[in-house]
Amino acid sequence: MASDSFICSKMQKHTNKSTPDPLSIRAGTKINAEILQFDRVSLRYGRNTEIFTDLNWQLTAGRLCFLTGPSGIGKTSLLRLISLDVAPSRGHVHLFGQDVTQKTDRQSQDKKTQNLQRQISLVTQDFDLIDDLNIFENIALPLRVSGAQRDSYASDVADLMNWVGLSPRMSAYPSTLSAGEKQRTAIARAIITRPKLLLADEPTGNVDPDMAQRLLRLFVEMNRLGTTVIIATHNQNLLKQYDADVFAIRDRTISKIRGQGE
Amino acid sequence: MSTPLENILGLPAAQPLLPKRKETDRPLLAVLAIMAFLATLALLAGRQGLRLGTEWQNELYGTASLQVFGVAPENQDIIITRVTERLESFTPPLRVNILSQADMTARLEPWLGPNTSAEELPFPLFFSLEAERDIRPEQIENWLAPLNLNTLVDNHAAWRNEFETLGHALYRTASLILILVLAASAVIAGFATQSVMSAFASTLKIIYRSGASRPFVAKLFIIRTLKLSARGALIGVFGGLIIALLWNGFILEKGDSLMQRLSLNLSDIVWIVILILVFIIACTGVSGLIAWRAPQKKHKTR
Repeated sequence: MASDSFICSKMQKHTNKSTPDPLSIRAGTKINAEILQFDRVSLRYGRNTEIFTDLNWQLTAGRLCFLTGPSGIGKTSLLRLISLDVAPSRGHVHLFGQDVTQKTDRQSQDKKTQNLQRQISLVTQDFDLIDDLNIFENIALPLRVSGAQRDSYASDVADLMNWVGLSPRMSAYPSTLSAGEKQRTAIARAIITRPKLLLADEPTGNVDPDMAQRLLRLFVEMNRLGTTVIIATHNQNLLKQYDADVFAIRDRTISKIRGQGE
Repeated sequence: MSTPLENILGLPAAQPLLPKRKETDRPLLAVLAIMAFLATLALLAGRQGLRLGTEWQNELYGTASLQVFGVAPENQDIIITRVTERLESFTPPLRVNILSQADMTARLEPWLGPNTSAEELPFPLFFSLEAERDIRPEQIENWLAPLNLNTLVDNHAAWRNEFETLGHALYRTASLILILVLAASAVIAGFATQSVMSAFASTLKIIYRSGASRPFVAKLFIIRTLKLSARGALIGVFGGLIIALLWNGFILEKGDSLMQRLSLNLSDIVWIVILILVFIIACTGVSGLIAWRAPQKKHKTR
């Protein structure tokens, strides 16, 4: 079975090189730049009460951090804000030094969103797999939409599937998978392009402890190679096991409860 | 179809991101085939109309009729001789035929009805004239003026104009119907694209989140609509051609030279190929535009 480093190095070649790397956050270079900045950000869905009010938050590139808090407090919403899945009701969100809330013409906005989304991967709780595609195609999706040729990535996708233990289910469809298999598929898809920012929403919620440890080791290895990783979890054991920044969401804002190396 | 690499690694074959959905694809295919069928009939009807007008005009081109009034029966032979001799020296050269009394009676009888006898009518002398080019009535009348006869020359210009108007009217009507059918096909393709986008909303959301651009998504729908519209066009045109060939068989059976000249020809086939291309381009273009312009689904925030 392939090692974590081997898998990460295999994926490195699929990193999107067409877009500039504004902060040069690859391993060993300019690690202290801000990858994410929230400036008085508020969020509410429809006419419901606000989930965040005047939230200020900064995150340095290359960090591994956990978001914690009870269910329904807004961890998923925060990840959706970062992944550009929702726009804030008020305030400004800066990603990779760009103000993503600044209104421009539609074409520029699309291009900006598309470039940013290619650098961000989100593993959601409901996995977001395409039911009509088999597992192989689901994992290869980000490479496919970036225009890569199938021959150039097929063996790497196969290796990654082998690593997450999904090789025997290569041709299976999501509807036939267990929750754990779906989760591993979603994680494999998220890391296949080795994104600059990896967001994971309860990534170990549906897998056995062994697989959970393996997946987290993969996240740590990705982080070691320069990817900023944000993991939302309410699993307190995980927080204790890893040296990472820990942020808690409470009272519609976010606060740091532990720093990396502390 | 699997590639050698897939065979070596045991990978599953490549899959389309937007797979076929029978429940949406079949009705669209049926509607597009019907539209292509109607478009084919409209195209062929328009071309037949235009050709009919032209053929009728060509039939009358270079012909005229000369009527000489008030000729006493006992003078008819001498007047016929004098007129014929005079017209022989006319430029351009003319072929002159005198219509016999029996021929004129036969031609008039259907118009007169059973209660009137053609023989009781004061018939003029009637000549039919033919030339290689168009005959101008005033030139014939001026040429015959020295004979001091009461003449009337008709080169059928009024009829030719009528036929031209009729042919163009048929052509324009059919063209308008063709344009409407093509426009309706494009609109249908657009609505179908919206419907498919709704059916694949969750898939598209994931594709966009994976970093897909609008042109990438538009291309997915263009390829999908291209395949469907091409199939629909071929089915519809095939149906239209069957009708046209049945009509063709009917007019060939009639044996009339004018009708035979209206039968399908190579230029019709060229126009049908152009129609297929325009049909496909119209449908795929609108589909791609709709997919490209459609907003990406996001959660509503305030």
